[in-house]
Amino acid sequence: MRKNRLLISVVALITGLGLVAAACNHNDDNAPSTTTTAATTTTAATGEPSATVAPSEPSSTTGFDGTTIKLGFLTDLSGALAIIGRPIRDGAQVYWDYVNEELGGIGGKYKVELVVEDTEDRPAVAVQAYQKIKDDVVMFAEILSTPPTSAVLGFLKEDNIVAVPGSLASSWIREPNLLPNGAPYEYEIINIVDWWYNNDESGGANDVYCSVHVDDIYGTSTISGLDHIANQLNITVAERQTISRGDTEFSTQITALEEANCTVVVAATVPTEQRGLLTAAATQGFAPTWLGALPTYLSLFGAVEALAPLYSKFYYVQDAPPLTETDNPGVANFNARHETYGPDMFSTFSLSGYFQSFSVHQLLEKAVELGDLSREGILAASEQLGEVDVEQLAASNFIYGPAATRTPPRASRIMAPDHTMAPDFIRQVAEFESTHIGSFSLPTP
Amino acid sequence: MKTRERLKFEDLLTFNPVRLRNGVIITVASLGILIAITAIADGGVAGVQKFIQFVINGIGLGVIYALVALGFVVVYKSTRMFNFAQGGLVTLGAYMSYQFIEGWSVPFFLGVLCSAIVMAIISVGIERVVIRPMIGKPIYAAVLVTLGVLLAINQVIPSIWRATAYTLVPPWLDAQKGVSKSSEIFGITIQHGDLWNALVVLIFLIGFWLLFQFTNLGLGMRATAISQEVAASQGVNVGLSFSASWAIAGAIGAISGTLLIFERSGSVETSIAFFTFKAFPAMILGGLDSIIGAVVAGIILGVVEVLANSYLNDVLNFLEWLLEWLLEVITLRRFDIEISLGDNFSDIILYLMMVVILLVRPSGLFGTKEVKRL
Repeated sequence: MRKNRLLISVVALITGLGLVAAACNHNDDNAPSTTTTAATTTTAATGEPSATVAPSEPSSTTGFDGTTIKLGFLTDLSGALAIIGRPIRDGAQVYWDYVNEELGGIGGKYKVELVVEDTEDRPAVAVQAYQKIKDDVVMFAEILSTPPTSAVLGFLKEDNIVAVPGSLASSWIREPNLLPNGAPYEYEIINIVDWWYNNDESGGANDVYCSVHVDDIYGTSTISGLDHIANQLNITVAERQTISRGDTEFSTQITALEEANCTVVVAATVPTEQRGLLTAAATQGFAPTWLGALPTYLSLFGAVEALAPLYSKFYYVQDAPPLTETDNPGVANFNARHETYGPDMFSTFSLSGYFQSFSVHQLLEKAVELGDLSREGILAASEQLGEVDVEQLAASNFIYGPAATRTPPRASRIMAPDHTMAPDFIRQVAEFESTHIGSFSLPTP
Repeated sequence: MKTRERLKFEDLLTFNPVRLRNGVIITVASLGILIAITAIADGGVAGVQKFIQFVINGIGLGVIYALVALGFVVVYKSTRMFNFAQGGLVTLGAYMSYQFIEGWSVPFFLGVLCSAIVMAIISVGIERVVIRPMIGKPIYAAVLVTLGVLLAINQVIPSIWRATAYTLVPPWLDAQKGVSKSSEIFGITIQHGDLWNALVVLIFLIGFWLLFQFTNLGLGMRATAISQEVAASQGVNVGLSFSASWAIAGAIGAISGTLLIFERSGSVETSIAFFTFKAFPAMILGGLDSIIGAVVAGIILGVVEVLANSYLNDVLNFLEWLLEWLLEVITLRRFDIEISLGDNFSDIILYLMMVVILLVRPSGLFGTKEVKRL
């Protein structure tokens, strides 16, 4: 009995120590990397400090103590979108480590620090996280996913704070307090459907088009791109199905799509659920072509050869090229910086987090140049931002300025999963800009 | 010894044969009526075939609910405590299986076994460190502690496994299609993965029966659940009963977590914990402390969820039309409004069922009725 007690006590002690050690490790995980050695192959055009033109030193203000600029970062670290939220944080950290270590910081001297909070992809938690850190940061470099961004938007306006939405909803573009990146989801869907429809090899004009989307604001707004292009191309959407985040059983949706004789299914879903849909379709012998928005795919899912058949007729859209395209300067820089500052593993969304940091970097440079890092100063700087060069990581650059005149990128890169193409397991199929994007009206606040 | 002889299988599993017989008759009759309605509404044989396929798919889903619910029940049965940490044990178990099978190249079934053993040890550790000190404290405090353990585990996992998601491939995968191998019987597809899930649940059911029927440990666990003080006074090692229930819950967590990976299309990720809460209504519906209740309720819920997902929207569309029509007829006015009951009403059907059952039968379908002395 005594032996048993001793054994149990030892086990308990080890477990307790393990928990404590892991918790400590997690804290380190959130902290910026302390790696210092770095040598990039190319210096990014946008990465050049511009402090020499600053008329005056910015004074200390909320989130800036005169030496360090703190950026809020609201992402999902433990919820359903943690598979996206964590690599986005890692990618952003790579970018800011590079800025701090190789450029000396913003204006060559102000270091940048991320203040990361977990939203669990829940709007209510996102609002709490926002309230918790808003008085510690100059702006928010990330608010992941559409529902949390919607929930926080009113507070951003009230507090005069600028934030980067970690989603591509078109409704963000005309919001002065938001600094979106990339082509909006609606453009992605318009591009990929138009590309497929006009692709001679696919014979897309004869297909039966259907859709499946997540029953939230991301899904419904994204799928409105399909409504637009269907109207332009005179396509009838034969069947529309919805799913919920967290669903695991999709035989109903697949049966409905199959019964409607769909040959193309346009998807506005998220990675795990999309893979569930593909699995259910393969199980039932239903093999349409899938055309998805950016969040439908995660590179890790394409890495397993045994699961490659699931993605054999799957295409999706993203701004950035595959990481195997090392001729692209943005890709070359990302690969080098990730190797220096990044964690061992990454997904396609690591690049997203890195990519989103370009506009924040330039906004902060502009604010420093204007000598004002206050909330109002950053908001004013955002109106003077102009075109931000992303080193060809997007098919075209975002042109900022007053919210009413901003012009997002229109072209998209069409991707197909390919388990032989490490490290991101995708290959670019086409770069495409639909002529029907011009007639799509961006929503106004 | 006498005590053991008096214990019967139905006592052990808190299951009433008469009630079960009635339940089976009602279920079979309901299914028969539904099949007939479906056949008429959906075009004969093809409609019936589709309906049966959905039922089979629902059973496949329900077995997973049942397995996860067993983890909740085994702790409640021994300690009268809701163990919210079970969601964390399931997720940690999934990652642990991944680590053994993919990380350390242990053969699949041996890897799952190793994962179950490690999770049992970790669970005992958690019980000794954070749950045992709560004995004698208000039950809600202990329940809150289990919630804290769940949150802690969800934070610990990403700090150990840095990548955000992993993929685990089951041995029953059809490499040509990238999905589970399957067999077809009369046009109905049965996935081999579902058969494995059902086999695991059956093994657990037999295991529980053997444990509670033929071992002193099982007897002690039952006695502890009735009254810790009385059990201790009769020489039962209450602490050991607590530890044993947590060890079993940990092992169930590892196995159900591994099977959940395949239910989530092979994706090992922290959101597995959310799925475990979908199994919660199975525990409530089955009757909190009933092992067979958890299994039956899990399967019922799986079938209801899939059928509701498949057919409920049509019913709701009809109801929406009917409400609009009634509104216009009653008020003699034409309204420019569209009544909507939502697209994914089936998502809440599990919780709706739980509420209804609690109103009608607070102790669940198979749970122990609370008897109060006047």
